[in-house]
Amino acid sequence: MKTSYHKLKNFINTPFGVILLVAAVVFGVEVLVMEFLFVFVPVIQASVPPIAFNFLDAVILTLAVSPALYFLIYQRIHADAEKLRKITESAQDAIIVMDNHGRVSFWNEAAETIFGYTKTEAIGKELHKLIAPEKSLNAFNHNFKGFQETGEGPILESVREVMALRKGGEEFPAELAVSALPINGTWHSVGIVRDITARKKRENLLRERERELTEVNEYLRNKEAKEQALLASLGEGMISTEIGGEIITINRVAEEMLGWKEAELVGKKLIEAIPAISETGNIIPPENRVCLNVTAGACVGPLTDDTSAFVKKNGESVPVAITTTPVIIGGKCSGAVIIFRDITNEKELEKTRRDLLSLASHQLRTPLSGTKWLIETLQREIHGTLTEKQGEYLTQIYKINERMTNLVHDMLGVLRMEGDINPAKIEPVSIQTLFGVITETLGNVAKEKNITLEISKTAESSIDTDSLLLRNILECLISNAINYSNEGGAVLVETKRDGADIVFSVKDSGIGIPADEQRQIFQRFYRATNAKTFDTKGTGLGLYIAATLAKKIGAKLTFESAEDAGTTFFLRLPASAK
Amino acid sequence: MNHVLIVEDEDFLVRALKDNLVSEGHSVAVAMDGEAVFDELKKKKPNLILLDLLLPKKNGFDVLKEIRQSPEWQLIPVVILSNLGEDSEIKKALELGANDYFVKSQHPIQEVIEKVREYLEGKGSTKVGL
Repeated sequence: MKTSYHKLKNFINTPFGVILLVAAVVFGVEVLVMEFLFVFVPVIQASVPPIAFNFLDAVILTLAVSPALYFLIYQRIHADAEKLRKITESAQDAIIVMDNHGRVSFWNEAAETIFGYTKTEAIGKELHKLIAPEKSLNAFNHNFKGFQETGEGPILESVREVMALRKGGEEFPAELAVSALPINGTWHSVGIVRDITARKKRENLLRERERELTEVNEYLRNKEAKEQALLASLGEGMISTEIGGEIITINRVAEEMLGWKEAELVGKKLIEAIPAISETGNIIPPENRVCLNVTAGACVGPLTDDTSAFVKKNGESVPVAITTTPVIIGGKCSGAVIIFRDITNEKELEKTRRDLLSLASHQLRTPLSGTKWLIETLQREIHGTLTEKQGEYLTQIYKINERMTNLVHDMLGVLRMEGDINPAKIEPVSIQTLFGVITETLGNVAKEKNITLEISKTAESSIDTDSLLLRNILECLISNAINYSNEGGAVLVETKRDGADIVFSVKDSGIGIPADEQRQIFQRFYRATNAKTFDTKGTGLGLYIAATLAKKIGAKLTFESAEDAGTTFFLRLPASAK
Repeated sequence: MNHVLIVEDEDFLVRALKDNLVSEGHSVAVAMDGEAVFDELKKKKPNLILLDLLLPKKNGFDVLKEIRQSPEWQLIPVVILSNLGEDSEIKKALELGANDYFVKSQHPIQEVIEKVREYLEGKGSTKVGL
């Protein structure tokens, strides 16, 4: 039923069908008019005789009127076709019609541009061989037969992306919409093809960008997570601030240490939200806070401070060692990071150590000083004259006691020095005063051994350093020079300027240091073999202490020596701290 | 005859000091703790005090402070004889008005006796720092 209807419809669409239809219509109209005239005119006007239906006239009339009508209809159709042609030609997309045999029957200008074939080249060719890549031909062949008969196929009535072939063999991505077109009872198809090369490129680019963005995002997320984890796992408290000192973040350790939650502190000024107290227990005024310089925006630092305590939320205080570092981004100060750790234990340990040292010194020295003074009292023969042997033995006991005293003195010195976490002071030290004190301490020791201690005059008046540490070093060097010189020898101390440095030298004419032992001489408890036999009192700690203290004040301690030819020690340090 | 007050809680140190000072011809009084000092001061005003710092009942720093605040005894020279040898301790004693400071184990008794002689002869110079 459907097929016969389609057949009729297709037939009518042919020019012959149109003419036949027009003729039929004209003929029909004529018959109706004639009939009308034959029946009704005599009724209206009785005088007029009925007009007989003349078949020949009707045929002649039909033949005369039909072409005119047909021409009018053709014109109409032609105008439509022309309009359609203009539309298809101006289209950006290729519009291609394929006939029932799979050949090109329509090929617009866009098709010429897109595929590279002119109309003449394309029309009548097998469409798929022309524009479909090899690999898609199978599917086409498979489906085409069905389409030829039924006008149906899997790619109809949808828009899909396919690969198409240009003249020259270049493949390109295209968007294809196909509709079935029944013409004269057979199935044709109209394809609209859009070249989407540029769009694909844009899409690929977009996808690439998107992928990159995702990667960057991922990277940043990872980085942030790592940083967060780092901050969280940091064993020390951390607060970061804006340039004006307003708190941006505080880590978990800082929260626990201070008793505040991050949310309670963010946006507040650090120096107001977290007060600090000094070692004496007084609140440190904001303008004196060590971290202020950085948090107020001045780009100095890192600044360190271990003399204050932070006040916690509950009002208690916690002694902290603080390091404040400016955050410099693009050469500009943009805030600060304050790292701090709880030093309660260190402070307690430091106090215990100090107390213990003080007590140990006292407890060890008291019996030693008692022995010393009682021997001296006996030696002064206040309680009767001593025999020669008694005198000799008392001298021995005195020496033993002195050795013990020196050992205690040096060991306590080492303990004090090694436990001392305070930095060396830097202050102007008068060289004359320094040597005055040293002469007072060591003058008698030299005199007892009949050794000339000569401290030469110098033009240098002052040096920037830690006076006590410098004195300890020089005393050690000079007393060594005295101890390891033979009676009647001389020790010469000189002070000279060398560029920006001052060099102290202590020269003796003593036993010297054997060449193969010179490397070990600064080691703790090391005593050169010749020194051990020459002076049994030494502890092997003097030069160790001197070298350690020299390092602490930024001085260089060196020596020149040859066995039995004396030793000269050189202590070189900058004259000025600036 | 000059009178010297020894403030020292260790008997063997008292003996050594006393023997030497007496042999020099001085009279000697001894206080074995920080409170006995003032009893001895009241009995007889000494020309010089040798003062230990770690003492029973009242430590040497407090004793020194009290002496320097007393109108009667503030001008008596005080020489510290102690085995406390930290710089901070020496500084503190000198700031409280000690005239001299000896770390006992570091100095022969002869030096102490000579120092005493200097002070008693009026030649003793007050140390202002080490």
